[in-house]
Amino acid sequence: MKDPASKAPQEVRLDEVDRLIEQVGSSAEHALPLLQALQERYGYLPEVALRRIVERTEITAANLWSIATFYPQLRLRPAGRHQICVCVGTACHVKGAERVYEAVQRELRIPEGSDTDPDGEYTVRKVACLGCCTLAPVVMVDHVTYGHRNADNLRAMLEDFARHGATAMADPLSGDGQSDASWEGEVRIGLGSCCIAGGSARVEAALRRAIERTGRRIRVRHVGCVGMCHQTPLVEVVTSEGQAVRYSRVRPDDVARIIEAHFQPTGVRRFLRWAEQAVEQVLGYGVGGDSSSVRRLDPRDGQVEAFTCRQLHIATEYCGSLHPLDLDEYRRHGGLEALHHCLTSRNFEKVIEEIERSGLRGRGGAGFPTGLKWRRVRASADPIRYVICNGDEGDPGAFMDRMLMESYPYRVLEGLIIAAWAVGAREGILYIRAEYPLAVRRIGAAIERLRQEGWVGRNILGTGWDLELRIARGGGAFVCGEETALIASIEGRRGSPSLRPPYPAERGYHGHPTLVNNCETLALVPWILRHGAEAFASIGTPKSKGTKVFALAGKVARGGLVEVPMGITLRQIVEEIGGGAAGGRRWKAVQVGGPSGGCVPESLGDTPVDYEALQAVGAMMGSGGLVVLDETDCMVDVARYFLSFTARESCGKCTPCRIGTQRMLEILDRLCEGHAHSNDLTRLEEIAELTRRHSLCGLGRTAPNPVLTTLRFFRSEYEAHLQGRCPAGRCVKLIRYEVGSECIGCTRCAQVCPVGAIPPNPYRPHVIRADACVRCDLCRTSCPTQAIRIVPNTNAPTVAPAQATERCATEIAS
Amino acid sequence: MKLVKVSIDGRAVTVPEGSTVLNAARTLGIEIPTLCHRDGLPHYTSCMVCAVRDLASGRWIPACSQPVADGMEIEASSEDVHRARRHILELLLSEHLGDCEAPCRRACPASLRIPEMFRRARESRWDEAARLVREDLILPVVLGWVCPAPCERTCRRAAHDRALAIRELHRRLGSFSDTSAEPTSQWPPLIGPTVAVIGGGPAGISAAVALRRRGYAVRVFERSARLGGRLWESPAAANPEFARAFAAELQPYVGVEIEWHLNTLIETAEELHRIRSGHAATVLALGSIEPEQSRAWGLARGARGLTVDLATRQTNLPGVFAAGGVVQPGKIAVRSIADGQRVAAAVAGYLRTGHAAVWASRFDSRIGRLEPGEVQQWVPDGGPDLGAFPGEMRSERLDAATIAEAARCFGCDCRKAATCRLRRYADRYGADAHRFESPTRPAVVLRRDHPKVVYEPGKCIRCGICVRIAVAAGEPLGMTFQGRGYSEQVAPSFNNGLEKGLGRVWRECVEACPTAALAFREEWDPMGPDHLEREQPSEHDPYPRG
Repeated sequence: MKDPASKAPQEVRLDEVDRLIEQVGSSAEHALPLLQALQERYGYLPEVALRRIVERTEITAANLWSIATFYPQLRLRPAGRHQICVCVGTACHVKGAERVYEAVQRELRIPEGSDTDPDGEYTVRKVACLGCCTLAPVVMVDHVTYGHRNADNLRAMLEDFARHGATAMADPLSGDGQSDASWEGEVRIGLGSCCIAGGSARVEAALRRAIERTGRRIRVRHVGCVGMCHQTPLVEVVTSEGQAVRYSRVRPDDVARIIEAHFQPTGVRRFLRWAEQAVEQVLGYGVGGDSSSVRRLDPRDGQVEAFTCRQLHIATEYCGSLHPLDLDEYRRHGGLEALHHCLTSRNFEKVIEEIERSGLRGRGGAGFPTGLKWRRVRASADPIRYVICNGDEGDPGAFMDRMLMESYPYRVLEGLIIAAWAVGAREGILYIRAEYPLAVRRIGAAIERLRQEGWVGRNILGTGWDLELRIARGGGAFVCGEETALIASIEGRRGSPSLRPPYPAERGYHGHPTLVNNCETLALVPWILRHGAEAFASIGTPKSKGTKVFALAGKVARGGLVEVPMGITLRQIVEEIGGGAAGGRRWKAVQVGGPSGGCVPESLGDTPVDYEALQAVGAMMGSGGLVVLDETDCMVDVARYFLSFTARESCGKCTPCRIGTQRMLEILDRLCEGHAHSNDLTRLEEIAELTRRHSLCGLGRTAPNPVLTTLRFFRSEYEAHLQGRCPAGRCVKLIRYEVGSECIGCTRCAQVCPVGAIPPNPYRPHVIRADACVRCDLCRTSCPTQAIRIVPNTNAPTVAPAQATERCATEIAS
Repeated sequence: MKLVKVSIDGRAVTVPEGSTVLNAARTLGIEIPTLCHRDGLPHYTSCMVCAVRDLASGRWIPACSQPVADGMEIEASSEDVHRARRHILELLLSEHLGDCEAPCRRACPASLRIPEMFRRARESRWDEAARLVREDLILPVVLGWVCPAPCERTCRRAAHDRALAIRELHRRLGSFSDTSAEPTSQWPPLIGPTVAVIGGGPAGISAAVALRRRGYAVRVFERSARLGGRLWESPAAANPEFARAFAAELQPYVGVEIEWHLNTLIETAEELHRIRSGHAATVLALGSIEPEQSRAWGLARGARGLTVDLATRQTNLPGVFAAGGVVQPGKIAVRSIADGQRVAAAVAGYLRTGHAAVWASRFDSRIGRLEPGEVQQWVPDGGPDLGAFPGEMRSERLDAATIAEAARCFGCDCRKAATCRLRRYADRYGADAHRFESPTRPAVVLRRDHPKVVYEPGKCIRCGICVRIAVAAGEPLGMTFQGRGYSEQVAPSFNNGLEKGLGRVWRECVEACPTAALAFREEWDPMGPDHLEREQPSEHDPYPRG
């Protein structure tokens, strides 16, 4: 199908391309950055521009083409003027992201087979994770993130975007970073990606207007993530007396009253404000809404208490009170002490030993001992060594690394600089995921600040040691989180892994020893060196030390970002911190570790957070996503969700992963659609085992985990699907909606139905036409009398295999 | 150079440090299958069929790229290892889109190498073509009269214009001059005892000739006064030409260590016993057998015919085999002929080792039913249709019209059916292409945007050998990986044509391609047998060998 947007392709000027090449660079290594620059400029990769790059740089045609077609972020067809990304991360998936995606397509009348609406206005695509899991389902329009979307409020979102456009995004680096004693008070507002998605940017604008009206010297400070994402946007007011009050779920309308409650306007302003209020009273409207809607969070409130008391902040130390880019503040809180100590002690051996003794293990998922990795790189005879911070957090349902880079950029960088110093590297690279623009900007600004202060660059602190740091942006490929693929990606090749050995510690970036550590691992390093290995090792279990940051999301009452000591049980996290399942339901399982992890059933909830203990139940620490599933979640659907993720993210290099994940997905699709074969479970297990054993890298080796754990703990659900039943009532092909006798004929369902499957019939029982129904669930959730129920689809589709083949073949042909 | 000591399958070997497990295994003469590996090119490690197990850790490692470590113990040929390789091959085969054998050959019970017959004919290599039909059909002319030609019903070209006149062509070739006769002078010298064949119909004649070709003398016992059995029941037999053709076709087999005993009825148990004790093996090819007769001879039978081992055609009596209508009545002549050949293979194995050889089909990947329009992919390989071929004329002429007809063949068989390593390993490890079957398949594509090369993406295993060859040669455009994951393809960069993509290294790429994804446009491997003759007992062999 012809892409409508291609009607008027933007003219590509070669001199402009040449300028881009000049800015970015022309060696083989610059392939991905060049493509990213092109994509930013034109919205896609025009072929003439690609050919120009081949002509003018060292990059070969074959390599450029293979990279341009590898990264999902890059596209070769023109796109619409605006881009809509529907997050299909785990948390969004379990909250109905697929239905949101379908609704977006319906709403924009996007023709089948295309991704752009007929006017060329919007291009829609699914993205693995926007990292705003607690606001699920999330949709991002250009750079504006909208949380809690459903089929019903999408139009409002599009209208809002049309009205406010990109202006809804505050400049994330604004806010008063510097300290000044003359302030009369402070208002803190979280501006992490989640908070922005929750609407904090507009709240901030309202705050500034309200403060302006008081005429007082009150500063607005941006702080990093508080972790209580379920309460966003959060505003904290600190008066000059040091009293702090936190407000949750603040709306722009609420702001004026919050400010007034704490700060009296100055003389003239007070009068003006009084007059304004009088007029409002006379005219009968107010600036603010109903005052009861303002939610003041009392720290003694049981909920907040429970959310915070189990936590232990090391990587997220001083959470919610540090300005992300205020270096002085960071130093006042002990920042750079560890680095300073390292550089002055000049004893790298002692530092490596300290890290070894702390028992720190890689937080990226596999849990390799960090100290040992450092030692291996240090021990190399090659004088040229590199360090890489792995910030390519591609795991759907996880956003710890994003939060750390956004909220504590100095801490991550301090860890990286220490690591570089300890292993003797002179160049460090931060590989940051493409979907995290805010993290890229903050880390970039933090590097510049550190450079100004002499912590990065030549002859650091007069030690004669040089260190250059730079950022490499990822291309949105999950597999690039694997260290050999990550290095390939930075080197300007396709992000495909290669066999280890050789390990990057022996032969990595450009063939030199390379230390690759995860963001969170590095963020823990300064604390360990400041407090000593023993302090760190005293936390946790015999083999897993310290803390772990988790992104707690899904069907949990209080989602958010939590840092907990190792050894805490999953049940404690879900029930005590998270408050159990939302809506008074029972939680059924918790998905740990994303697509590499597994589903741990509630019955094994007492499994501690520990690398080995999680592996023993078939899960994995992974990078730290914790998605809570309740009784309305179908485990076969969850397994299918993860397999569709890994199949899509497989790089396609090795046979077991490339074909194995696809075949498993096909079987799971059949199960969810009610036409599975009787031997499908056996086949599924066979392929899972094959993929687990023989894949080249960790992605493939762990890809079957979601299938294997659900098969192990929830086999009865699979067996039900073999018979065409979905016990949880989730698989759309196996259910239908039915109106019960409770129907009062209010026509609400008929009004919300996006496809007109419910004819309105006032004061009479309504009927849902099963053939037209798209199972979007809107009618059921909006029915005031809960008259609409999900029932098994008795005539579940039984598509003959031959028909299926034909259909797909024509799809491919078109 | 530092040396390290490793053990593979319990055998120790010392190799230089940095050698791969594959190289160490080669030193020991242990063969490990590889597809993506090519000596002289950098490792890519993608196909994973070279799976071996590291005994210390229990981990599976790819032998082609894994460097050996001192003291390593490797398991390279156990049941587990072979199963793993089989499953990996089965994954590759689950997306392999191509036919090893042409549909027409599959339909022919005697596996006539039809596309090759056409290829020889269209180049006027008449002698070679004639020899081929004689080898495969034994009675190509007679079959040209009586065969219902199941091959023509599956001819792919029928979907385009009309099916090839396969039967008429093999009849013409079979009756072509003296050289079409059996080359009896090239038969091997007799190597073993004499075999008895009871019955002189198509199955009996076929078994006798096939056994003699394998070096065994044969005595045929036919109860009537003429050979041919049920062939004479065909309506075509009424034509006087048929009798003449039949006589001519049998001519080479007279007086050449095949004794034809006409008017010899073997009926009683006593008579059978005498035959059996006088011969090393006995083939029953009576066309049909009454229940009383089989009871009298002590033969097990089912509802329709004798009960035989399907893989060996062996009856319940030691050394007694059965072929043709006695097993399943009403068989068409060509099936009886095919049966005679199979039984000959089984008997030869029996005489050689005491165990009847098992006739096992070779691995044969199949596209299956074509989607509408897909046939167009083959059209460029077939010559034009010059109007109806006089298929019913029963012409003796091998002329321009015959050549034109032969040239119409699409050549649906795989160009590398004999050399494809995927097929070879599929045979060796007993892979089943349907184990991990996918509900969907992509469209069949034969790219011909190169004057000498045809590229079939459906046969590509993404090993990247051509990509690496192009890189090593510094090709300016080159072949490259396009896309990723399951939909990753190997293609010329920038949607260029194949000619630009393969550049100067096209020949090397085609020769190195482990499957027929890249093949020379005009070259097909010589067609080999579509079956393997395995010594028994192979079913119980934990590691099937090819």
